[in-house]
Amino acid sequence: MICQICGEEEAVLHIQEIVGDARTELHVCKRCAEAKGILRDIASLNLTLSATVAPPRSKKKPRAKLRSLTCSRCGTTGDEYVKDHRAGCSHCYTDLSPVMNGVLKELHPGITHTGRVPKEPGNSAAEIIRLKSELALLLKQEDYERAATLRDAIAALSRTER
Amino acid sequence: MAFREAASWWNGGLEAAIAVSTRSRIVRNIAGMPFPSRLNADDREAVVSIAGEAIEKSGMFGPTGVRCSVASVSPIERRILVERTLLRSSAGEADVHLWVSADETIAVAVNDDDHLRIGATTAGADAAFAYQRTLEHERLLETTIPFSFDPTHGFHATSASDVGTGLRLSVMVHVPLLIWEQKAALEKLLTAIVRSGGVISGMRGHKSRSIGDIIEISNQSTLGVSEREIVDNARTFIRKIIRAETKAREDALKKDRALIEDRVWRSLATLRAARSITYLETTAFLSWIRVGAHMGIISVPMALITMALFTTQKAHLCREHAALVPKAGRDIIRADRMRALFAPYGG
Repeated sequence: MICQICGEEEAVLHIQEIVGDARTELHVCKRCAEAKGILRDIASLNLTLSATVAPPRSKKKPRAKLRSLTCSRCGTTGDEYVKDHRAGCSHCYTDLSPVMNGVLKELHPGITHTGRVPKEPGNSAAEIIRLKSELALLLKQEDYERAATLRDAIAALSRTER
Repeated sequence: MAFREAASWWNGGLEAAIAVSTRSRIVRNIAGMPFPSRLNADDREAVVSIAGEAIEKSGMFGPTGVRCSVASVSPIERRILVERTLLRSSAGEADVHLWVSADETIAVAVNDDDHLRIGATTAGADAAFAYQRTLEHERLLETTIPFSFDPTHGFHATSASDVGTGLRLSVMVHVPLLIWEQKAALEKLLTAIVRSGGVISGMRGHKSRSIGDIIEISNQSTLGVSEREIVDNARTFIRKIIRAETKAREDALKKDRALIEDRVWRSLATLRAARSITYLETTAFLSWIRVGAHMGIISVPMALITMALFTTQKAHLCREHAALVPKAGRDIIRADRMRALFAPYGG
């Protein structure tokens, strides 16, 4: 979306004000927001329910070389990815990786996955053992709410194992 | 498609007076297949058959689960699916299939933005449980479906905002007294939440409008944070919000009990008497009724108030009709429904 003030830059700030049934919208870029003092207002805790702040996108556009990268499998280009943030297939994650990492860096606290990894089918016996030791620890710490959730997970996993 | 009279997650839950519901959603794609936006009709069908076989084989929905092709349901039914948060409002139609558990707490959408979208909803505030439910179902599918994954990016997703864990946790909280009486405290709280990676929106993803004084808080990031951190973070947000709203309610009662009681009783009286009423008016009255039930001013079950909140949406009102009834007609149906629901609670 283009800034409604300068009509040039990408809008990064989307503001909606609702008074009664009337709604007004304003989309502005970072530069205009700074110039008009909108960003400062928000920074000084003036955030209201009717103002949502999108994470700032860097003005720096990726180099042409990166934008011209193309996924060998589905044909998604680096340029398309920068524009709409959408991958076409798992190969994009290899072929467009340099341009993708730039986008991901702006959206997330890191660009390396720290969450769970998929299990090989049939590998859940080891997982059940691990979860059971975690359950014992939670019970020791008297964290019954989590322990109950974990107990259910173990039961579900045991059912799959059978 | 047959819907239950009331989804089971409308039924109270932990901290129900303030937390309406918690939702967890995981997206996954099948390794080696282009994502849905790049699939041709044959491949889309292949995805439905791979996913369908895995879902049926896992027995996750048992004999009572419902399966439907989104293209084949009526426009009203489709809207009801959206109003019940079982289907994304912007979901496409071509070969999008949906599996829903009999109690409507778990839904798997196939060929939406990603091959698989597993969503779990629980009543009240329970981030850990909601996530656990999605995880259980994902694990069942994992035994047959190889997911598109690499160790650096984690689970692959169509949208850059879902890459990594693919997990979005959101909670709907009802915070009228913070909104109306303690705006500064609310702003401070929301700013802190946004700064530590939360996103605030209105009910059902409305960009900024808080319908019925309900706001939705969800995590923004999915990469570089673990599922555990996302869940813990959500639990912290929820706890803080609940504590602040509870205090705001107590403060308001201490300050002017008669005024709060008056608002609550007037709201109940209006819904028991109105002959035509708009959606926004209704949600505003339901908001005060919820406060009244929480503070012991009136005795109306929380589950009934949540049910009223969802069934006052337009497609729910027109369930028995072939198409949406024009607005004037809907307002009359809505008033009839509300009178019937609240008739036993006149005090």
